Amino acid sequence: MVSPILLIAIPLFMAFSVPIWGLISKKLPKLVPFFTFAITTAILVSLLPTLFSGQQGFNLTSVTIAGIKPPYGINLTFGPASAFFALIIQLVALAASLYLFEYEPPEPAEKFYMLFILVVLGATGMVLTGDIFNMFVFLEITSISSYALTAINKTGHSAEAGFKYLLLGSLGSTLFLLGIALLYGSLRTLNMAQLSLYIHQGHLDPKVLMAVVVLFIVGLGVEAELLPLNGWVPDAYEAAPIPVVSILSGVVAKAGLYALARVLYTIIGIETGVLNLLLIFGILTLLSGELSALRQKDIRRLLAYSSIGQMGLIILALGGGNSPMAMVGGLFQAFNHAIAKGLMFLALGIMAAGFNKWDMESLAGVGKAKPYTTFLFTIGLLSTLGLPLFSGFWSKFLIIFGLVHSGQVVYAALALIGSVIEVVYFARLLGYLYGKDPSEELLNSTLESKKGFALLGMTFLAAFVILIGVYPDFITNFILGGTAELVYKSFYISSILGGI
Amino acid sequence: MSEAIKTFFSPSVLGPEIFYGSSVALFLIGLYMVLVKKNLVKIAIGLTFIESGVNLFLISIGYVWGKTAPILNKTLMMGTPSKEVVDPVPQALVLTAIVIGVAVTAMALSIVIVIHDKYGTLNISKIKELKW
Repeated sequence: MVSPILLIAIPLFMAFSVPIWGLISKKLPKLVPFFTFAITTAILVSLLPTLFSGQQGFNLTSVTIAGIKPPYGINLTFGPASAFFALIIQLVALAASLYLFEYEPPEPAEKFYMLFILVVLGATGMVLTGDIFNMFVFLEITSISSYALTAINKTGHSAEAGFKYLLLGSLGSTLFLLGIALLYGSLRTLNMAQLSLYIHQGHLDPKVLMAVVVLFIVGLGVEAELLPLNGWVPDAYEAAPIPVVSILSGVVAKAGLYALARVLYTIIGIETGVLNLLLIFGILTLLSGELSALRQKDIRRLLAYSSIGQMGLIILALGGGNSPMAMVGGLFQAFNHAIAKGLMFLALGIMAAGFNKWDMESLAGVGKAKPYTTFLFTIGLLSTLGLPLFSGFWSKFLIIFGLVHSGQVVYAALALIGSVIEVVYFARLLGYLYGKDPSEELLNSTLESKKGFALLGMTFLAAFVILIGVYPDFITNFILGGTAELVYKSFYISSILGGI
Repeated sequence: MSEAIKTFFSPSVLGPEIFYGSSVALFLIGLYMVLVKKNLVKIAIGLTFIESGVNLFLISIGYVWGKTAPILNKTLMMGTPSKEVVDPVPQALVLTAIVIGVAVTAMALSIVIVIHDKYGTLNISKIKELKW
């Protein structure tokens, strides 16, 4: 059996070997991200069957690193939740790396490809690790590379956006480290399973626990785009190159979300009242994101605010964890959001290729100039809206239903209001894309048929949206297993430390 | 005089609280710099202050008053090493955290250089978008 550690080791090797490939041929570095992610996706898919054996119907493997057993050494965990998020990350990364074939990064190009692989590597590491300090290290790998990628265009605007992101991100991760320090100071362990066990047994002072919860939410909320900490999102999405933006929304935000869910559900435990906090943060993020999206002219900013709104919806669903249904909906929505937003951003990149104007007026009528790309964009858009036959329908339905089921009717109503606002601005956007005649400039811009590889990657994502929309069973096993892994602490603890 | 200083810093008078106190102070000074200062370089320095505060906190968590560094030598081998050294784990963590902090600072300063090239100023209130 191949080991999950290869999911981290291979990208690490490939990332730092990019300059060497560049010495052989100038064209080679362009191919490296795609081949790296193709290999890691293949490894991940070959590992999936091991998840669904055993008596509970799913199973969690703990991989020991360097021969020291879990409570003392670092371990990787490969359970349904980790595998599910790793799969999201790999799929989006694979599609974005296909887009890279058609994209000319700012010089030096090797640096761009290296950072691109490192972001995905860090996110995969965050998702797979079983040690909380290791999670911090991977969080920093992800975030430092994404600061660099945000600022890589070296224009004034991108430097500003990068600095904003860096300031919030590094403050956030320092606070996360402070939370880890508090936990270590009281419990003298860094292994997540053992931390969870000790907290469950009540070895931690409730006041310290509360401080740790707040520090973790603030620390991870920067990556997960929570309300007071998401000031960097619109600027970064506007200033960063398009493939980077799809990685930011599909990979970095999802890794932050996973870390938040893992820490709050498995380590802290939901009996401590953290769910109310998540509900409030979630609904505020959702409504503020959707309301701000209404006023945007620039499509990148519009999608950025819509992305904030979607992340709010996921956090809200995680807060409805009293009912497993909302939680299942939340994880499902994480998948849909990553795939659909990744697809939309990549499609937007092709729509504005060779043209480089991003506001609605300039892109009006693109449906006639670049029909196939706009069609793919529309698939992502309709899935985000939650129309039946698209994958977004199932997740939104489960979230609303689950929230009502767990008695949070007010939050369910507010989430529905958020969806209505979403319909308003997306309908207006569709009106611009299809309803008007394309300008001369748009017709003369780069043809979509010259961007074959990028279209291939996007078609791949769109196929997932439709496939899961029509046949959700394809993925529900994962999500049910993932929810169980996150919520049932005893399963997680006993899988890693052995019987209790 | 030196006797007085020795008594002042002995465990009976101050204890390890002095480390916790100074780490909180460092953290707050850094936070003040990040929130209030207008100069981008000063903000970057504030970030390093915050990191130092957290690092000092981590180290002091693992410090046991009067114990020695966790390096195995002949004298330690004679007795029971585990009872005579401080907790080595936080020191390993801090080493990692310091390296990460240096990377963040380097990244921040290189972005500041680009901003200075483009706008000719380091004052954030003169740069149009950098407000929230």
